[in-house]
Amino acid sequence: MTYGTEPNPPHPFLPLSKGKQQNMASNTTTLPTYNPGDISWVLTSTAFVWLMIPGIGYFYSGLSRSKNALSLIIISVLSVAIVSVQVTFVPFSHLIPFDFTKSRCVIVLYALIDCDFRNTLNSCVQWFIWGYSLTFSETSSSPFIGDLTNAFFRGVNNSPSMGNPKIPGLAFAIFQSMFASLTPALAIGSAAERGRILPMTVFIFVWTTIVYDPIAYWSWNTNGWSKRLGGLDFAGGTPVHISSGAASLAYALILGQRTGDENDEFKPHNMSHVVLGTAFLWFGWFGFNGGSAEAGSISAAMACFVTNLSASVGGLAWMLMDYRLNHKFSAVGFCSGAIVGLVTITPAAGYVGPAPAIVFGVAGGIICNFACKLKLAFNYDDALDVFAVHGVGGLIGVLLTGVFADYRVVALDGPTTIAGGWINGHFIQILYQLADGCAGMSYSFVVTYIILFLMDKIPGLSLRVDIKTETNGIDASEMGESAYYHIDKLQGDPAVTEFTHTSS
Amino acid sequence: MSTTTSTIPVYDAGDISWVLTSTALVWLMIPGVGYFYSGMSRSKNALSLIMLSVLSVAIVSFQWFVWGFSLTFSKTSTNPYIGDLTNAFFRGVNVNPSMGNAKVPDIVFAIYQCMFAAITPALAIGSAAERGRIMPMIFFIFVWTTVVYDPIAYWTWNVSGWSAKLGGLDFAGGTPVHISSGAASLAYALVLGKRQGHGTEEFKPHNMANVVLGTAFLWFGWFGFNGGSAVAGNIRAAMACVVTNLAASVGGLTWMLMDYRLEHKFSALGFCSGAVVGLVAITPASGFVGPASAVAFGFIGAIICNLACKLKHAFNYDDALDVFAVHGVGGLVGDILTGIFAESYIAALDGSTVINGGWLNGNFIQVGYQIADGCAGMSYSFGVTYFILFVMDKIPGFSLRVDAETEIKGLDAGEIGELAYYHVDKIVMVDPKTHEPKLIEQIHEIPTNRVNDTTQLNNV
Repeated sequence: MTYGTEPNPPHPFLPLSKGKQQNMASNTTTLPTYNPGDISWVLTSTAFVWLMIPGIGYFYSGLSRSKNALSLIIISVLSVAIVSVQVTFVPFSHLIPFDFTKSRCVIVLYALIDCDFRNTLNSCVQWFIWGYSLTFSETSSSPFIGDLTNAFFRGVNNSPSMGNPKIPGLAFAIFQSMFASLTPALAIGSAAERGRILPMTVFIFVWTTIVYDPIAYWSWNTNGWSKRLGGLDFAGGTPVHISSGAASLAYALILGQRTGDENDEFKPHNMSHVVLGTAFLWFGWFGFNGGSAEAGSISAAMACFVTNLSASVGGLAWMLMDYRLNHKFSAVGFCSGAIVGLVTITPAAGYVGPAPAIVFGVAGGIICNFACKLKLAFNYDDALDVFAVHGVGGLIGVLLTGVFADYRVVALDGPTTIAGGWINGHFIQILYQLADGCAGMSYSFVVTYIILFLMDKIPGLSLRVDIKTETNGIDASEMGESAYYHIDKLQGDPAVTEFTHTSS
Repeated sequence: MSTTTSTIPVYDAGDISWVLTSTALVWLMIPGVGYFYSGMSRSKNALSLIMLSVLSVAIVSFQWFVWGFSLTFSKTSTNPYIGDLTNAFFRGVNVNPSMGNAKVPDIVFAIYQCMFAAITPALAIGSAAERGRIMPMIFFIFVWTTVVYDPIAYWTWNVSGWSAKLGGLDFAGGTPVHISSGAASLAYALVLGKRQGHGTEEFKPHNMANVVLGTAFLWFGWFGFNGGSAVAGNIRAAMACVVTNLAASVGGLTWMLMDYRLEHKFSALGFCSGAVVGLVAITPASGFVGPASAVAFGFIGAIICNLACKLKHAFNYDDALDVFAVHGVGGLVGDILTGIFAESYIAALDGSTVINGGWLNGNFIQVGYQIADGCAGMSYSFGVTYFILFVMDKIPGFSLRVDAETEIKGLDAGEIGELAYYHVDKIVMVDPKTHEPKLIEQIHEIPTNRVNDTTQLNNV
């Protein structure tokens, strides 16, 4: 044999437990068998959730002003990279040959492709290094945080996963990696148009380690206190939406208001991108909620159905609320409402039946529409309403889950069962939900505020750009590029014409 | 309700997984239609066309939950034309084997079919582009999908439907989706009348990048539309994906070459239109025909639909985005060709389906069934749609067409209060001969609820 002295050398992906080594020569009785259909659906969902991240980018980008358009698209994909890749951010203009003879749109594409490419090459860095371990390690007994047993993905292989024993740990890990990548991309929306990119990248790495990973542990690790308590969170109402919403509020408060002169109307500059982003989000959410069943099962199908229905109703509700004010069918309203519907149904997706999904959408659409006024009442600049949509929407969803969770829906799949919510007579559930949601929101807000406060004091990591940079736009100043080289003169932004004026 | 596992049938996760994937893929086709239509219209109406497609999802998803699924797929109805309300509000829709395929539970089939119902009105309202009011359109979508889509889909896909019983072959919706939407769009175009400037102004696509983006979403999603209609992860689904892709490819090339012979240019719009036509034509046939036949579908579909685009000039109606030519005529072409090229061995690839096949199996009557199915769908849809719109137009508050001033300033500003591209000052075109930029449209910064002087809005 070629291996050396041992007749049956250990396989690198063996479980870490001191169980039987895989015997390469003998049959595979020690390897669990999985249904390819379950793995197939989880991997498909992984890709779907990945697409949500540029979806966020386009959504935020379209809502902001054109001089900051590119920064918002790129930062979302950057979030994937950072949570996945351990590299220090280098401004892209230093990496790409700047060739004026070619179309400049190509350079923008290089930036996007380069980031995606690096992400693919170095998949799962923070998550790989310790993120997965801190969230989903099976050996930790603390109720608050995991240990480092699975750091560097050791022992993450074909053992049944914690999420669902029907799929192997590796499939679960890559799927969950997308959730971890998506969450900071949501949170930094409130830093739009005035946040420096370098501190943002450091922030993402730190934040996901000490805010996202613990909160996800509480909700999803079998030893997490919220899970042990009986809190229900199917696809991440608290870890993803409440935590990112609260974090975005903290970020907005630290950064302060955007500077604008009398000509700035702070309106969406590209509604086409807003709808594109919404389309990617809604499409990807089939994987976000449906995939959280972690099997090709009936609850996956039910999750897909209630997700779609809640989004539809949420979009219509918000749009109609705006209609009563100015008698127009606002596209921003529809898109925001659809996203709110998606957010609210997230913690409930695999636990509720079709009819309650309508309540989720309507409640989310109406309440979050009003929540957008909070920033006016309390005078903070949540530029893209991340707190109103994700923070408030997530909390609504988490609470409504306590009302509408139905053990009969879970029973459609057979084995696992829950105690249910109000409609099953299990009235205490809503308190578990309240505990889960409030803990997540306060922890995220406070710790994020502390992180940002400290970062702002460190020389070189100050969070806000200076006035001149803000006036010129983040694209020109921080990235050295523009999103729209092909447009001769960008409407309303005389500062950027030097970059967009086409050479004749 | 019993929770013991013995009462729940066992399903294969692979089948469920593929159908759920296809659900999401078909969902993405709907913004694809929106971007395609939006790119083809003028920029002042760009946002309205994107919006209306996503709005269609929202309205039909709700309608599907309320009674749409029941009217189409209820298992307890016995009449040949329409379902009953047993499953209204999705009661009873859960673990039982579905009508589409016993290997897959009802809830999976229901969410998948919801996407088909959602895309059909999004196609139909394309002909109302640039001059249709949004509020009546919302109401129209809800009514139309109940009264036109659900019956036609029942005839074709419910085991009690007359077309299914007759032996009509329609794998993924040539009649319920394409013929019905094409005929409906014709009716809508006739009721609305022609756009201002039709015949005198040249209406050109304002954003070809969005047209291609829309085509990409459509083609990508169509793997789920046709492949998923096998309602299982099996070889028949794979074959459907193969023939779908092939028909789209051949269709795109054919149309592009037909346009080339006229202007000696490789038209992107021609390629995209041809690809969509190929996808439309192969839709009813995708689970019944083999790869070689798919080439015929793409080729014949593209030629006929390219010529069908001239119908609107011949009969002098304004089908703004050629929905009738592509979906109506393309769907009928596909239906009839299915009767010719269907082969029983392709249907049997899933191990259970038995059909008599088409001409290739010597079953010549099949074309007759296809014609019956297609013509019934087309005439029913056209007649009922025209009636619905005619009546709506008479109701105060539901008049279908915007007023002249709103039409000139654009639906985005007039109906939505937002523009698609605030960051663009004006749209120019470079004259290929002189290389001079020529102003196409001057876009103004529109403050909410107010519009600038409309005389400055120019079209070439």
